[in-house]
Amino acid sequence: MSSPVTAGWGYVAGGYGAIGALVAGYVVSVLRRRRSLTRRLRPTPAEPALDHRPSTATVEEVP
Amino acid sequence: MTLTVPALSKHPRRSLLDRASFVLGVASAVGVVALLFLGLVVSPPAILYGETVRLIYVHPAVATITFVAFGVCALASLAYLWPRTRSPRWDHLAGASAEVGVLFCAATLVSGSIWGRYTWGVWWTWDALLTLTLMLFVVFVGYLALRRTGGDPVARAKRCAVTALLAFLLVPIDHYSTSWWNTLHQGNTVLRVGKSPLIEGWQLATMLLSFLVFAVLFAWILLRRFEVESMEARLEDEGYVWAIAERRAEGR
Repeated sequence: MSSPVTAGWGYVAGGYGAIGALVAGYVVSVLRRRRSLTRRLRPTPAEPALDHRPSTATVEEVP
Repeated sequence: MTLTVPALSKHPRRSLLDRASFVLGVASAVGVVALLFLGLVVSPPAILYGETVRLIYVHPAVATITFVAFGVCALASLAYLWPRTRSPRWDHLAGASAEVGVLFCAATLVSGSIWGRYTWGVWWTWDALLTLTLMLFVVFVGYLALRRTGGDPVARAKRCAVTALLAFLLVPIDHYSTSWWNTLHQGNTVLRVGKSPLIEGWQLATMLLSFLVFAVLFAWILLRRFEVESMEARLEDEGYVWAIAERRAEGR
């Protein structure tokens, strides 16, 4: 059976651990979302504008 | 014919917001280390609570920041509803602050439950303060769910702002419940009208530091979350612009 002193430290560890895990988990998820969104919002310089002109390519006739 | 699409926003530059966020992040890290050192090593155990008194260096500060977060959410919602100050940024700030508030509210409930088990012998009891804090948590989770609903963004933002203001009414009731009703939960430890604090020395210093550290940590998380909220809105807007431009080009 644990002494009152040891039991006290168990509750302290539980309280600090729970808050630490919640906050750290949330912070990591926010930073990951931020990084992902920053990447998605970055313009791609080589991306050409969509071209809807009629194609000049020849099409082989199907017998 | 060539499809003309408005240019996408440029990559966000290093701004004042970034620098403030960096400073707050470093201050939070240093503060957390200092608080752990003072709370777990320097501060002595209490006569009545023994080692568990160390929970007083996290639980009250986290609970206070919960109220601050929901207060920021309510103020930002008010600024959004006010026609002169209406801007999507207020809506983003309200959403970000509510989410961080829900996180701190969850931390309050969990740490309070652990402390309650030691002092009262039960993990949970339907005490006025505990029940109201749980209600606050559930109501703001509902608010976050409301933010995820579809439809017109302006109508949704107005709906959410009104909901946030109504939800905030629970905060003063929750805070003053220990004074208004007979509850198991103890009253204020430091701010007592006409009386000196119940703790002193290193215990008082550590507890006061905990309020400062969690306030800085909250400000840092809020800034980062606000950025994410703004970027998500931009992505949604630009997605619409592309979709409309493509549909127009198809119709030509």
